[in-house]
Amino acid sequence: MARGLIDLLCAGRPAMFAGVIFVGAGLGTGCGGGVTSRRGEVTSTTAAIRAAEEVGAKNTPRSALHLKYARDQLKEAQGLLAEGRRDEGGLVLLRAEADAELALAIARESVARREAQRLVEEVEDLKKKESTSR
Amino acid sequence: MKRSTFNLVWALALTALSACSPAIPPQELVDAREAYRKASEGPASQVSPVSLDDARIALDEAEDAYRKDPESIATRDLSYVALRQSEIAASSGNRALAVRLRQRAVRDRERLRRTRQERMEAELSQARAQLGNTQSELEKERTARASAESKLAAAMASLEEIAKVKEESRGLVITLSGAVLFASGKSELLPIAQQKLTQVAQTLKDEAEGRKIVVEGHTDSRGSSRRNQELSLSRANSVRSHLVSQGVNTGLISAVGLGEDRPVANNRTAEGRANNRRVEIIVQPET
Repeated sequence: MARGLIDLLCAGRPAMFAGVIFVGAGLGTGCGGGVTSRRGEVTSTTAAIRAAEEVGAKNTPRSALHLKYARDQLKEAQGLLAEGRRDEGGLVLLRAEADAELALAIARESVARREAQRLVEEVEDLKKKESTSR
Repeated sequence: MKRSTFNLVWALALTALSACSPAIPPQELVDAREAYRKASEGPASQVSPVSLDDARIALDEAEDAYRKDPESIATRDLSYVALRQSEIAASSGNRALAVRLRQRAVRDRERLRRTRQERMEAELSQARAQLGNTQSELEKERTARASAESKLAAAMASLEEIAKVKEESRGLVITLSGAVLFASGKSELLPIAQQKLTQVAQTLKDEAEGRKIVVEGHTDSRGSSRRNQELSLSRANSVRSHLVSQGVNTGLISAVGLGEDRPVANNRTAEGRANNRRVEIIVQPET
């Protein structure tokens, strides 16, 4: 698992794995630097939640629900970490981050769908105007 | 191997592996497998392969954890994460489709706007050409009217040299002095009068076409009333005849003798009587 973690971090590719927390900061230096935030950390989870909020995840019921899950799980993870239960806390952080990323994805999809719908309607409107003006 | 085929084979392989496993997989893992299967069959395999790869890796992690310890918290949590990753892949695929739809709509919109613009420019150009034609016709009409007005003004000026011309409610009244037209007591036109009436006839033909004309004969009050009546009618008829001979429409012109009944000046003075001896040609207004 540690080998998988190093491979994935050095490739700069997001991956899901357990036990990120106890691998610790030493791995960050193992791949030559440049990695400031890893999956399953409080900072990356917080950043994912913030990104989802900025895209408007609160405005879509489904993404709002996952945003709520993310926040609740972040809070739960922080409690576990404060109690020194790093393994459990790390896993809950992974769940929180996954929910935040899903909220972000749904919000983006919603924005893209709305924008596409708006443009399709605009095109239909133009077509109607064009056919009536001929 | 195509990516979609690869994803399907992968999903089947995972299903086969799980079938060999002795323990019942947790619901989270079952859901994650199903979500991955759906995502790999959806648009994500074509339009968002990276997110589908992430989902596969997450599911792989969950399957590994399950093989090591089917009932561990890590297995459930990693399955939960794998489920979310598959949902993210599906959502990314839908989003990519929406983006494509949007791009196509933008292209269509631009094409339609361009077509509309071209059509409007063509219409504008046509309207400008029509306006140009109308202006040209208007200018011709304006020139023709100015020419007609100019001719009319010249005719009136010419007429005013030999007669008084006045616009009244009964029409245009051309008054010719009796002294210019006739010898005293006579109703035959003097040669000079014939020349002047020929000019009048020309103006009437040009400017009063289609309008009714009445020739009125008037005398002063000297002599008997009956004689004055006869003389005024005879003189009016002489004028009418001459005008007809010069081309004025005979059906539109009539003559009437009014004798001494309608003086325009005092009959006690020589000047007044001279003014009363007259012939009036009335061009009635158009009806």
